[in-house]
Parts: sequence; C-alpha cells; structure tokens
Amino acid sequence: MELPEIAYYPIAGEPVAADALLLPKAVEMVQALQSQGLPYVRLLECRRTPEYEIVVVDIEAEVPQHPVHDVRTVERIAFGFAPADTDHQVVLALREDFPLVPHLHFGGENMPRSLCLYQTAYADLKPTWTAAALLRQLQHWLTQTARGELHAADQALEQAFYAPAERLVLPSAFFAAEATDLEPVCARIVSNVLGQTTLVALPLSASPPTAGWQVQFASFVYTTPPQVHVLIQEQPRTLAALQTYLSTENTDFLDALRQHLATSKGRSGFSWDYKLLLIVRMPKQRTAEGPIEGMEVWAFATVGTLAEIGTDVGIWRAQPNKVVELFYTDASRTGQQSPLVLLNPVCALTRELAAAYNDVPPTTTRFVAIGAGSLGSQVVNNLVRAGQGNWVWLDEDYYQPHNTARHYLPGSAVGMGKAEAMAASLQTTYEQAEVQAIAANVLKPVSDSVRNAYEAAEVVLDMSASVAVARHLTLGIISPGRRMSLFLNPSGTDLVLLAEPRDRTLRLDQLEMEYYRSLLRQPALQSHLHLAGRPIRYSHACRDVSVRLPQDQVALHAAIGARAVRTTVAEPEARLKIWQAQPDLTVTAHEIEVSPYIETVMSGWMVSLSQQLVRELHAQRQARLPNETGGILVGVFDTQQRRLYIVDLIPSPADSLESPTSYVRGIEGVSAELARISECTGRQVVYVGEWHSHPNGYSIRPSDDDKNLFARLQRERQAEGLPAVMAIVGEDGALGWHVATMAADAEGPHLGSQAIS
Amino acid sequence: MHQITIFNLGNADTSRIDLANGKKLLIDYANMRCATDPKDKRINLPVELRADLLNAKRDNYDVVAFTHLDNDHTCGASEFFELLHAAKYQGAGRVKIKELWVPAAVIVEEGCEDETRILRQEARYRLLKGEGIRVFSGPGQLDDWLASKNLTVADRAHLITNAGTLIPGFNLATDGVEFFVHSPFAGRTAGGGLALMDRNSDALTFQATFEEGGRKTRMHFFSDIDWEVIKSIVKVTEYYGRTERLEWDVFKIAHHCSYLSLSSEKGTDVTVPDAHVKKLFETYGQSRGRLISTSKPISSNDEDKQPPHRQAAAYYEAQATRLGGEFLVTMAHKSILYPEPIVIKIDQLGASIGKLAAAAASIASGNTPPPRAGHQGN
Repeated sequence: MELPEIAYYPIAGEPVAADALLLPKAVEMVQALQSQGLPYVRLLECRRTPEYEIVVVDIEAEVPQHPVHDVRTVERIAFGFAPADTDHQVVLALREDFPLVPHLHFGGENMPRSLCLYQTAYADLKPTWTAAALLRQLQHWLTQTARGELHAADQALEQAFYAPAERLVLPSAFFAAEATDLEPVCARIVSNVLGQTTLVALPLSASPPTAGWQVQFASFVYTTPPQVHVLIQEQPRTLAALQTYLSTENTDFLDALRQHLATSKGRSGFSWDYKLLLIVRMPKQRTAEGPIEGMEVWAFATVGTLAEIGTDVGIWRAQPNKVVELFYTDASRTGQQSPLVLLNPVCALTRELAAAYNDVPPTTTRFVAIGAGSLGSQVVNNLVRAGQGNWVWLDEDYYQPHNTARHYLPGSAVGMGKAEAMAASLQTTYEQAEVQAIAANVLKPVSDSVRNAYEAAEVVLDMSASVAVARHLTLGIISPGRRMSLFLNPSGTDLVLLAEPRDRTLRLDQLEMEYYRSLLRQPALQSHLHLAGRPIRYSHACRDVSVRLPQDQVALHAAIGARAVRTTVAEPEARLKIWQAQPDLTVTAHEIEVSPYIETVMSGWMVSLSQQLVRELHAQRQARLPNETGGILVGVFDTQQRRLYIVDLIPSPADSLESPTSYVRGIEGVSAELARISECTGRQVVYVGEWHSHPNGYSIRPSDDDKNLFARLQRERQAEGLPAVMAIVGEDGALGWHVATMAADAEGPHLGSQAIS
Repeated sequence: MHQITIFNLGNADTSRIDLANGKKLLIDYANMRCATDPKDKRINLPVELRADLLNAKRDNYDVVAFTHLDNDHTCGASEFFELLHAAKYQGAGRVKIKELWVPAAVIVEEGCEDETRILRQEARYRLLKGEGIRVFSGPGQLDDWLASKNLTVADRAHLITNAGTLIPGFNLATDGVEFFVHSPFAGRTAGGGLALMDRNSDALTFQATFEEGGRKTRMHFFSDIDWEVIKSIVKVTEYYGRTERLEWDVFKIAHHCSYLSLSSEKGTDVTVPDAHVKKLFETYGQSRGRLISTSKPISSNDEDKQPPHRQAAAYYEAQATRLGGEFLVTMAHKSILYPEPIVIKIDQLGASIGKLAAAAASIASGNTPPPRAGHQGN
C-alpha cells in the first residue's frame, strides 16, 4: 500500500542536539515536548542558524473530516527562536502545499507559510508565555483554519492580498462604494519609522504647499468591476501581473492606465520623473449575485518613473534625453518590466469613524462655544475627537505662556488667538471637521458673523467661567439655541453643568438660581464656592478658578464635562449636576432636581421664583395655622436686567411672635443664617425681603400693619438702591407680591402688588 | 454539534452519544477500573459519567444499550443504574434508564449468573411490563419465550426492532440522528430451524447516521461480532441495495481489535480480511475516516492470545493511512502513559477528534472531578 508523499520545505541551519539548544524559550519548548505531558505534538529535530534556534515538530489539530482549508491531521511546523526575544517566535508551516489561508504573515514566493498566531503584541503576551501555551495556540490556529473559522463568518469579506507594512493614508472617499468622481491625489512620504514607510495622500486641492514635503507620486485611480471575494492571493509584482489578476479576459485596466498617462502628460505639474501611485478600488461581493458589501482599496507604487511606465505599457518610447509618443499602442508591452510595490491603504479618519472608535453615535449638533480656556479647550477637544458637533468658537483671549500649564494647546501656539489656534488644531482631527473660530468678546457689540452663529446655534455652550457672560448669553442675545454652562468652582475641585431643557421652558439664569439653592440646601455642597477652605471675598469671583490647580484635575473635569455635554444634548430634559473630586480624584456626583419657574413683572422688576418655593411658603403657613407666620426671602438682584430672583426662604425665627391676628418676625439666628447663605453662594444670594401669612378667611390684601412694614422696608432698601419686597401667603394658594422702590410722589408708599399662585 | 465519547477501559466498551438536542445515549457500561489501584489507567467510569450528568443537570439516560451481556460490556451496571425489577437496585444516586436496549439473546438466555442475570431480569421485567425497553431480534427468536409468558409477538411488536430497519424513537429531522440495526438477525441452521443464539454473534450492532448542517456522518458500532457475522451483514445489506448503511466515516471496530473480526487467519504481520469484510473497509470507508479500537495499546509481540492483535491493528492502521484518516486505540489515546476518552465531535464539517486541550472539561474549569485524595490512599 503506497503512502501519500508529502513534500516539505528544507530548513536552514545545522542540526543540533535537543540538549544543545541555548535560548531559554527554545530549551523550554524542547523540555515541554520531551515531558510527554503534551499530547498530539512530537519533537522531530532542532537546528541552529546565525539568527535563530529552530525546533521542528509534528503537531495534530482537531481537523474535521471535511475541512474548509486543507489542513492535514498532522502538520510539520518549525518554530524559530531569536536571541533578542522581542517578537513573536517565527512559526512556519513546512508542508510545501500548505494552503493560502487567512492570518498568515506577508511572505515571499516559494517560502514556507508563516503563521500569524496572535493578535496580541508579543510584549503583552510575554508575561504569560509558556511553550505549552504556544503549542496550544498553534493547535487552535490549525483547528480553526481547518474549520474556516479563524476568519469569523460575521467578519468583513476576505481581502485580496496580505497587507504589507508600508502604509498609505487615503481620503475616505476612496473607500466609499458610491464614488464616481474621485479627485486626484498627491502623496508624500511622511515618515520612515524603523524602516516602515508611511505615505499620506491628500486631494490635490487640499494638499498643503510643498514646503517641507516633496511631492513624489502622480496617481491613477482605477475602479474594477465588482469582484466576488476569494481567498487571499499572492500579490501581483508587476503591472502586467496586476492586469492578469484583475482580468484575463480584457485589458481594461491597462487601457485605462495608458489613457490616463497620455492625457496627464500635457497637464501642469506633470513630471517624467514622478513615480506612479496606482489606487485600485475593488467593489466586493460575497457571491456573484450578492450586493456590493464594501470597497476594497489597494495601492501600488511603481518602482519606475512615469517615463518608464509609459514606455513599458507601449505608449511612449524612451530616446536619449527625451521620451517620444508613439502613434499607436504597442499591445505587446503590458508592463512586464514595471515592478510594483504593494502598499497597505489606510482610510483617513471621518466623523463617523471617529465616533465609532469612541463607541458613540456621531452628531452634527451646531454648537456655539464661548471660552477657550483651560476647561473649554479640553472639553471641546474631547467632543470633536468623538465626532460630536459642528463648532463655532468665540473667545477674545490670546494664548499666553502660563496658559500652557493647563490647556489643550501646545506651547508652539503661544501668542496666537486661543479660539483660532484651537480651531486650526481640531480641524485636522478628521476629514471636514467643522471647527470655526471667531475672536469676539461676547459682552461687547459683536459682528454679523457672531450674530449669524447665534441664530444658527442649536446649543450655546458657555465655558467662560463668568456669571455675567452666562446671563448675557441667556437674556442678551438672539438665538434659538439651548443654553448650557459648564464651569469649575473657584478651588477647581467641582465641576458644574447647568443645561436648559431642549424646549427652553427653564432658562439658564433660572437654573443658576436652582444651583444656588442646591448649595444652600445640600450639606455636601456647603463649601463648594469656598477657596482654600474659606469663603471667597468678592462675588464676581465665584467662577474664577484659582491660579493653582493641577492639570490632571482639569483633565478629569474636562472628561466628565465632555461626557455630560454629549449625553445632555441627546436628552430633552433640563440638567443641573455637580461633580466633586476628592484629593485622589475620586468623584461624587450630585444630580439636582430642578423646579419650573414662575415670572411676573412688578414695578419694572421681573420677579422669578420656583414653583417649589411657592409650595414651601404655603406649607410653612399651613403648619402654623391658626397663627400667622413668616420669615425672610433671600435671592439675587440683577439690576442691569432689572430682574429679581427669589432663591429661598428663611422660616420663622424662634423669637418671632406668631398669633392668629399678627406676626412679628424675630431675629434669632437671622444674621448668622444670612451670612451662611452669602458664603455658601459666593456672595450671590442676599437678603431680598419679608414674607408672612394670613390666616384662613382673610384675603392677601395688605393690612395697615403690612403697609407700614412695607414702607419701612422701602425706606431702608432705598439706601441700597434696591426695591423693597414683601410676600403675603394666603389660603387656597393665594400669594401676593409687593415690590417697590421709594416713590417720588407724595401719595405715600406705592405698592406694586400682584397675586401669584 | 453531536459528540461521542468512547471511554478508555482496557478491552471493554462504553460509549456515550450526546446529541445536539440534549439527548444522551449510553452504549454499554463496563466499569473495569480496579478501585484499589491508583495506577490503573482505565477511567473511573461512574465518576466520569456522574460528573457529565451533573453538568447536564440530569439523572438519567434516554437510552442505555447493552450490545450483549459479556462482562466487558456490563461490568458494574447493577451498581450504577436504577433497576426497576427489584427494590435493592433502587435508591438515591442511581442513574435512571428511560429506555433499555438489549438484543433478544438477553431475554432468552438461560443459566446465566451475577451481573448478566440481573440485567436479564431487568430486561424481562420491562418487556413483560411493556414499557421502557427495546429488544433487537431476528424473526422468530422471541416467539417461544413470549409464548411461555402468555404473550404473542404481536403484543410486544412495538418494542421489538428487527435487523435491517431503523430504530424507532430517533430520526434525522428531530434528533439529527438515525440508527440502522445490522444485527442481531436470525441465523438459520442447515435444517431451516433457528440457529442457537450466541452472545457475540447475536450482539446488537448498528450504524448511526448523524446529520448536521446538511452533512451526514456515519458511524458503525460493531460490538464484539466476528468476521462471519460481519460478512453476513455486508452480504445482506448489499443484497437489499442499502450500501449507504455500510458506509462509514467513523468505525468503532469490532471486538477490541481481534483478528477474528477480520478473518479466521491472523496472518504474520497483517491480517488479510475476508473478501466481504475487506469490502466493508476498502469500499465503504470514506476519505479521512477514523477507526477506533476499544482496547489495550497494541503490543509489538504475539505472547497474549487476547486482543488486541497487532496484525489486525496493522490492517486498520493501513486503512487509516490510505484514507488520510486515523486509527485510534482507547488505551493509547493521547498517550499510553495518560490515556483519556476519545471524543468525536460531529458537525457540518463532519467528524473531528477532540485534541485541543479541553478548557471546557478540566479540573481547573470546575466541571471535572479530580481523582481521589486522602491519607488512606495507597
């Protein structure tokens, strides 16, 4: 009975005894094989070359009776161990007819197939490397290859060739299935790292001036008819071989190339000495009837110049010192003399890809961002890199040396406009990233371009760290955009996000008040606006970050902020959230429930307060019936906008005199509480006025006592230039408001009053 | 995926068939391991089987078949299984048998003792009761015994399966498998009467046809039958034109690699099979087919009269080489030093022999029990 003959590639080097191996991993391999503990693998021989110690084995895998790829029950494999031990061991299948299968290394002709066993980098694998694990991995590789499962069914279609190390970055349009009119590209060699070259191709129109880079290639783009995916092929090594690979039935490819060369000759920028970059686009199908599933793109660089290529495809003839055009095409010349170098094309980043790598959906939300400082620069960087938004950035500042300590921009940007430098940098993140900068101080009269940006905005994102800017962006500009504020507290430990709901039924200025209220109410936030453990001195400083703040902390909050902006934009609800970082950067978050607001105009002041506060006033009254009760109102005056925000109430002090017919508000603990409120809120929230209740059966019209009280308030508040405020809480939800400045006429106190319920 | 596990038990048979739909069949049960010898390389069968049942969260087999009642196919069965005919074989921990498969010889055999007798009583009990049993028979073989119990063949016809037919209860559509019975068949004497029954000759022999992903994989389970029975099987199956019932991708070869299952002559270096037997291997064996011997490792000399015989092994080995397949021996599988059960996986690519380090079944994974430990072990 004759045995089937199996032909093996010969192995280089001198045979050595197994116990003469020196490299530790080769020794471990041999010892593992000799231990008898590893079934299905047998040591055949050991060899040594100047570069490697080689261990040859016969190994058995789980080969099914009807394998997809012709892996045999027993395969002969050579392991090459290099002394440096810096890369995966070389693993060669020695059987001459070992099939061309997925996950081989790029190899030469008439060489043993080199198996790619690991996706993991060797350095990462090394800590757990054992010879047994390597053999087991080989067994798995052979088994899955035999079963056709190494390249999983849901994976992309098989590519045509093995990707070489030389990369070419191409615009994404080249990878699109539907792309008819592809702009010519020019390629430049960008780097050569450890012998591996990377080229970047850009559309001619987008190519930067040649300064610093030499244009080295002309290009020719060819889209083939749809191709059914087949097993990986040996790469074509000449133009003629490429034509044969693409079709043996016609010469469409060569004809198109000849045409291209002939027409490009006359154009500007043509040089006989340029080399040619062939970009071959192959629409791929799973089956001949199936849909186009993808566009496989390969690039080949010619070794020869355009002159040599044209001559070799039979349209030109080289003469001493010149090239002449032939009157006919020499069809016998098909590029047999034109070697090709295969390049591995890499798709340039697009918004969609950037988002996909971030594992988020891409968005084109139109943002107007205000502030390109430490936080803003890093937040927007995070968002743009995740394929989020189209941006117009407003900032008036220029980049100073000290900014570099905590900013996205590099030191090379010192002296430039912050927004401008950020836009220039982020525009190159992916193809057609929309990041535009306008130098502007938003508190001053602005240009049409800024106004247009406001009007087109879907989100106005304030990162200015200024209460004035936030209020102005809310009340002083015309924009349909949802307003959001993102800022750090003065010590830089906490990040705050205030975000209007999508329908803007709650405004950013009202959310600011809810924010203050949360600082008053939540014990954990008592020191939020303190600096170095002490209350800050001046109210305008409450969003001014101290100059001493670590970049890692800003980066942390920029990460949180970017995530918060992205997720908030995706949802319709309002949001008020505060993140507190501990010294070790552990973060605690406070999601604060916000209440709808009521607004009404009185005596020229717009009074705003939350429905929640109204409910609390009524609850206080109810609790003290049949007596009257009362207390103090605290809030914020904005004299420029003539707005008055009631933020919170102080309940009746203990020494108050409550009776069914009157109420005298006491003073016990009041000044301390007012001081606390002021300190908690960075001196934003102050005394506003008085409130008291009327019992059941009585209206909320002010009594003579009430009028007297109000007149007193007016006189006193006049000294501050502020209006007097008094609220009367009655039954059935009745609430009367009295807001007035000292009247100039002689008719006595003027009560601008209105009932709000 | 279907999986067949053939256990390393020396010259003895136990195979478990795990169907893709979860059904489990056990073909023979022979716990051959010497409990007091920790160096015994035969598997601890009850421990292995119980662990598998535990992992599958069940306490029974859909089918337990005893191909015949020799010790190397039944050893310890009465300690492992719950038997319905007597209370002493019942109780916690015993494994239930939903359907017992036995050849007719088991029912009619007289004068047997010990394990054989217990299993015969169980088979008789179930047949009389009329449930939980399937008897494999040739026409006429059971008539007298049934008559002695005031029953007719017609009364129990639904529990009797004759050679040359498919076993009821399994089909390709719902189970991905069908079983075709090759033997026992009724041998005839020269006078035309029924031949005397013989345990080996009248053993249950069948072909399993598995189907998955449109691909059929055929496997012979050829118990301990000798070459004359095999010759008859080839002749009668060809006579009826059912050659696909002779084809095989996997072959559990007969009688622990005895030359007597190939020919009456052992041969010097290689057994030359009878012409019909040869046809079974050389015409009906499929490319990359696997042959499996449930036996001790093949020795290099002829001192032991018992199988396995190296000459028979040489023939099987040559067939495996010719087909590009494999010849595997249970006590030498993985290695003679550390034998392990042979696992055959069957899916749309046909049969594969399990060779990858089984992460799914190891002590480290928690689903395989380690061997016994303890200070009293010797």
